[in-house]
Amino acid sequence: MKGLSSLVVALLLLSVVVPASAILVSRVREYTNAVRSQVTPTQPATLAAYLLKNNDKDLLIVCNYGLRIIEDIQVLDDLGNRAKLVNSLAPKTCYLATLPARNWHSLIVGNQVVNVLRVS
Amino acid sequence: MLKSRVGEAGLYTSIVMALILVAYASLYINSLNSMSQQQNYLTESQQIESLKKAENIFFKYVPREEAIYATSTIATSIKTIVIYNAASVVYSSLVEVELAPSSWVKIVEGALARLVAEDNYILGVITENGNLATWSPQKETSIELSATLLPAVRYQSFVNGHPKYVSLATNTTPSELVCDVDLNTECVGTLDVTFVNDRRIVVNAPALYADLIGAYVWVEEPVNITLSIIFAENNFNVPANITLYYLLLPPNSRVVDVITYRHHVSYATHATQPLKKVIIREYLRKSVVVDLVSFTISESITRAGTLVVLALALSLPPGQYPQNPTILLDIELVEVS
Repeated sequence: MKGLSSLVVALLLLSVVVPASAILVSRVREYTNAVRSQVTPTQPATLAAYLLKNNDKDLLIVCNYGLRIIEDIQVLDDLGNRAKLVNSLAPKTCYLATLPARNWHSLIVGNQVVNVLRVS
Repeated sequence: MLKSRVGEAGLYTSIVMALILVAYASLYINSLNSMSQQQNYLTESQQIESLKKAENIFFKYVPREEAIYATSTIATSIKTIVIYNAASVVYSSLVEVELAPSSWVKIVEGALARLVAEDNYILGVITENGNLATWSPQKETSIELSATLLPAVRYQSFVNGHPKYVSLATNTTPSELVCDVDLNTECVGTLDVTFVNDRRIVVNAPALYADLIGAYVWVEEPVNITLSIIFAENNFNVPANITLYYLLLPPNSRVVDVITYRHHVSYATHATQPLKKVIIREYLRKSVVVDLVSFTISESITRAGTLVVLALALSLPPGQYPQNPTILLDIELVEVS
């Protein structure tokens, strides 16, 4: 009898406290995510990209001038086509890519966009 | 029995509360780590952007060697070279060419150099700081700056002709204490410099010890420089004189020497290599003065790339000064011809 009543009390307590704590934790998580998103969410994309016309192709030069590796760099044209460019680019290095001649205007890195400067 | 149940309930409650506390703590620590990371990114970004702005690349073609040389205003390296015209790229390569101020490095030679020098092709280099500099002798599309302020400011005071309180601010350490050169423990204030761009710097420094404040200019050729100097002081009760001097540094001086250099400023007190006095202004108390001063640097620049010290010397007459007066100098290259 004593054990049963203790169990009932414990269940009652847990039925109130567990959902309450779950709601509290989710609220705190939402809050911290909101604060984080206000302070620059990710590492800045320290990329410079230059595009040169090369007969019927384009030469794209992408350089990482930052101090960290940049991963998964994609290039975007004005029709919305994306092409994967390189998996990772070490700090202070460049990458040359020959692409079909199009208006490649942006690089996509994670959720960031970097302008491509057309040189010729 | 009731007491026992209340006790058990308290125990369960404590366990649940402890779990909640742990969850909160982990979220909080996670948030702090994230903030700290963002702060690191911000500091890094500022340093990187300062380097990008301070970097200028210059080129020259040497016909007898059929070679193109390059130099830079800061230590940097070329990562990519391209030679192109409007329709095609005739050469593109990933390279590793170190550049340093005051020294010219051969970057292209032979047939490729001739394409640029004689056939209207354009040379482009991309540096480790992500800048693209282009050049063609015919089009002169390179960045044309015959004088730029370098991102370093020296501060010095003298006692009996010897350096006493010194400090150096650079774009990576724009705020530095002004301390005794020998003791290094006695400090009299802070030198704060804002490097706005390669044409403008803003200096805030302790006034009582400011015998000489040196900014550095990179000069490509004999030039006429017009400077805008904004001089402001606070808490002086007497007029203060400010004098602008300049000094050509010895050949082969590099920015890195300037940054670690102690003795060239003390040359100001030696007859063998005096600073050249350019202009003197007397500024009255509680004043903010905007002044345009022009001078020509024509001598001794026999090669492209000479470091010049712009020395602004402050002299205060004897008197009683309030504690910790500061001076503000806003220096801008407004015209270079």
